[in-house]
Amino acid sequence: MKGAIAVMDDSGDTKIAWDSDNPDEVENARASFRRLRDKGYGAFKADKKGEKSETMHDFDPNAEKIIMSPPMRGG
Amino acid sequence: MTYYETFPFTNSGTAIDSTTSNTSWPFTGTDATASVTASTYVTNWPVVTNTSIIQQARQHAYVWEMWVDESEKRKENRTQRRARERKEAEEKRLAEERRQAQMLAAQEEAKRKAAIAEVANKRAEELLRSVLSPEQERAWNENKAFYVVGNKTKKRYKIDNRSHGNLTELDEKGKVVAGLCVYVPGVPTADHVAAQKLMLECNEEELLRVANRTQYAAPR
Repeated sequence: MKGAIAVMDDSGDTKIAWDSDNPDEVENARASFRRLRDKGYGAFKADKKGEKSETMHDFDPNAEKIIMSPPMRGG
Repeated sequence: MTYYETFPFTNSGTAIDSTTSNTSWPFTGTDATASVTASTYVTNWPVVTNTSIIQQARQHAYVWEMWVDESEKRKENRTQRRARERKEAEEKRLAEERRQAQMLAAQEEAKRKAAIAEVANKRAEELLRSVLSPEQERAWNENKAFYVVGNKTKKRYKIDNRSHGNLTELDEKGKVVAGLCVYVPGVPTADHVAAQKLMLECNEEELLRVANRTQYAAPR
């Protein structure tokens, strides 16, 4: 099963993909997820279009799509 | 005194050699035998009258020296001026070339950035659409705005397509009661909109903690 993290940035977004059958890719994605969370990024699981998303605190290798956004700031 | 650039004079005297009437002049006319006929240069030189020939010769020599000196100075000034003008013209040309090159480089850079921004905006729009419900996507297509319900307070919010000041809180009747100022730095507008939607629907409490809220006096 393939999954991807879409990290929002100035290019739109950068994808970090993994195959759940590939431990290295899973570990790489997990490490990226943790690094971004430590920086304050929000993480949301969005499996299917239009379905209600949910906040993620830990990496889920079975998630199809994870969206991570930089920390929000008050204006 | 006036002197003329059309000098040299042509002498009719016996002691002055006409070949010396060049820039290697002056002759120091102390030779009492010099006999320069005043009339030969009366049209070019001021005529000095009532003086002896010797005195005239000396005076003319003096005038000649001054003429040569002045002529050299003028020549030098002309040469210097022309050199300066050439230098200034060259500097001006080079400055204009540099300005044109800088302008061209700035235009190319602006084009490059615009192309990058266009790609980024397109990607962000795709990401946003991938998280919108069918109803939200319809509203976005029509008005570039959609509505979201907060997961904690169940309040209704409207998000529109701007990078700042695009989030408003609505009352039960759909009137705007407050503005919420919260944004995601360094991302295209569509990413910022998607992040606001996801935060409100999944972690409304955190968004409200960060946002600056402006309560409006009366429902609009």
